[in-house]
Amino acid sequence: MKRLICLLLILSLALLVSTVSYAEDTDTDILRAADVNTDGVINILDLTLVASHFGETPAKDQSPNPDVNRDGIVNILDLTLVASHFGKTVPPPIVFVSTPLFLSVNPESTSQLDMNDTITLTFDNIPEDVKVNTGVAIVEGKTVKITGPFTQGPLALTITWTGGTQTLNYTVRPSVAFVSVDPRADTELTVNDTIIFTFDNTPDEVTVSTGVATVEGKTVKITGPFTPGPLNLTITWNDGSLTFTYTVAKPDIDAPDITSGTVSDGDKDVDPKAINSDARIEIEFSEEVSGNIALQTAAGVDIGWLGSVEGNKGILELVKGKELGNETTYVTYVIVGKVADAAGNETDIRITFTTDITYDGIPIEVSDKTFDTVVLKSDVPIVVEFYTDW
Amino acid sequence: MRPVVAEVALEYRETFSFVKLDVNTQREKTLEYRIRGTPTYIVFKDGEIVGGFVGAMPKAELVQRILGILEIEDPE
Repeated sequence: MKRLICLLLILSLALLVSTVSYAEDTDTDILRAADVNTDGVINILDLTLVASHFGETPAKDQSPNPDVNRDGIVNILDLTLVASHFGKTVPPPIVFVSTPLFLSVNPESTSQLDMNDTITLTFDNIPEDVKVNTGVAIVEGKTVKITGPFTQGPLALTITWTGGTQTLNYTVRPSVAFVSVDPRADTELTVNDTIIFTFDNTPDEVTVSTGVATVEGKTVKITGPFTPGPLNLTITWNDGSLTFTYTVAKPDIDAPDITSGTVSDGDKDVDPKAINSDARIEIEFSEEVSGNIALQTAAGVDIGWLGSVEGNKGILELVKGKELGNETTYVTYVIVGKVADAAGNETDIRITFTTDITYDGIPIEVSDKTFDTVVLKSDVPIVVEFYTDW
Repeated sequence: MRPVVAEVALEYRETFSFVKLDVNTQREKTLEYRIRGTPTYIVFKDGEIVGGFVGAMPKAELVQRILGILEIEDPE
């Protein structure tokens, strides 16, 4: 009770002092300090707060803070300050809002965009009244997302917001459409085949479900090895995705075989006249091959026939004047070469054959006139067949 | 069918020579050597007749007869 009486006395004194000395004080900081309970008006409630903490030493950041003059102790000076502004209203605090600053953009300016890309700008604060010269801007907190579709070609994107503007330059790529694929879908592949996709423009961000994709201009090459069996190949690029099905054949590890031919390895008594008449020697393989083939003597000298390999055949064509011969002894020829199938399995060719012997002019015909010279003067034993043609 | 005489002529050309004479056209030597039938084989050595025989026969027999006349073992 005693304390309350004391307070009222002090209040009265303070009111008197305020009327006399501080009536014109409008210092905003003081007004705010005197509005101890921060209700916007300096009144008895503030005085009561100061009085109730009289003599105390509150912390500087205490709230509410009855140490109005912030000298470290609640005393008569604080009461006096409150009293001197008694009845005044305190202006609301001014909140300073800084202009949002543009921080970054993704994708970066000067890069390439797809027509349906989204450009995301980041600010240090939430931008207001955002506008763009193209696309649609959506503000999400401190980010602004600008979506297209954008028009193909150069793009100068200007974004404005309260307190700022930013221009970003891009190149909008044309949309890329699939044109063709080779080999076509639903066909058979080998394990190491290459699948070539063609687009109408250079595709970006190409991924494939299997194999390795290499972009070369408007084409994308997909290389294996692919797993034997059904293959669902999905290719995805920045503008789309397609799936093609293939069947991957088991790897071919068998070298091509020689299945037949005009002559076979080891053939003897081959009639050269028949071959010369046909003007060709053919060799047939078990599968389609590529390679080379030539006709040689046993000593390895090329006879001069024209060799070629087409499909599953090796062909040797006679060149006029290079006919196969036969003499009074066997003549050995060798067909040499190397062929490989599509899988690269190689076969060395070596077919040796010998012609038959020609008996033309054997034995030598003698006459009455040559008899003595040939027969009687022979250095070696000689047999004369006296014959007649019937 | 290969002519037997031709085969023998080729195979034994290192051992002896073989020639033939048409009895229908070469009458002088036919008469000189008194050829009565064909084929007739006469073997000469150093310009002299060392043997002969008449008739067609298989290759082996023909060889055997010639080598026998020449008293040579078959080099084959």
